[in-house]
Amino acid sequence: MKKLSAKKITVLSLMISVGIVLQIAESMLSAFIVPGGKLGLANIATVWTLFYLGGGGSILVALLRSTLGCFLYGGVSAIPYSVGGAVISALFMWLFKKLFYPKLSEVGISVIGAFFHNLTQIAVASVIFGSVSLFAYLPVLTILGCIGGVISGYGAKIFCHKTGLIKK
Amino acid sequence: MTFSDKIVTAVLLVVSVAVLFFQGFFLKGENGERVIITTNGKVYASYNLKNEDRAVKIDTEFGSNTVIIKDGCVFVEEASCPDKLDVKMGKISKTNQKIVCLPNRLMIEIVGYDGKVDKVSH
Repeated sequence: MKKLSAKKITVLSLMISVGIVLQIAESMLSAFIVPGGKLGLANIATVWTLFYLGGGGSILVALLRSTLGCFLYGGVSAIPYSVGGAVISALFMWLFKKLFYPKLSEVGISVIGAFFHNLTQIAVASVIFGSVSLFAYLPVLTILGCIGGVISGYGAKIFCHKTGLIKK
Repeated sequence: MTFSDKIVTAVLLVVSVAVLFFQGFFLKGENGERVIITTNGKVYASYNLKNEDRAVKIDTEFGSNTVIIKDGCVFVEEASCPDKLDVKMGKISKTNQKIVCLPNRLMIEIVGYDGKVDKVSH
């Protein structure tokens, strides 16, 4: 692993705290539309880190943001879903960014992240519950994920450009 | 949004809506006959849905839920989980409907007489 500069550490910790705040704020506001459905606004922190610091940083942010967020608010029982979803979606966003950026912008990559987040969460739940029938929820969650993905993608994009921190 | 962004989003949306329609048409729930309560992937109990009103208190190492079976409907009245999503899911009465409580690892399913939903899911 490359040596982390003080600046990188600061940016990473800042993004982890931004992610936690978004995650907790969303938990408090959500449970509208579909039970269990969320827009995934905390993904803004992951997407932003992916574009500013690269894949390793974004996975670190996803991992720590979801773990700490669960300990602080969501409950320990939510950890497998939250951490699994966040980390796997960060991995896929990294992959899609490598393959398709700049054809796919922050928005498209964020939508893909949202989709893989939902897919992973349902897969984890299916293993825990021993029932594949939970995949019936995937379409509804995917539609919600597309909306949330576009919103958080634009969130990250605006944030990147306003702060002038985007790195090509 | 770039062109590729729109394609990706549109494909996901169209496929999801198509699957939803498919579910709505072909997996349409009928009036259910039995309630199957599963905790942590194992069948905890099973009850008749009709003509048998009851309250079931479920206590496991993951938490507690109070399930009410009344007038051919099932709902969760009380739960120890933090988000109470199972309570918010409301009443279910048809096959293919289910109530899930992720934190307490509880799943409530409704099946027909022949239990055909059951074969698919277990």
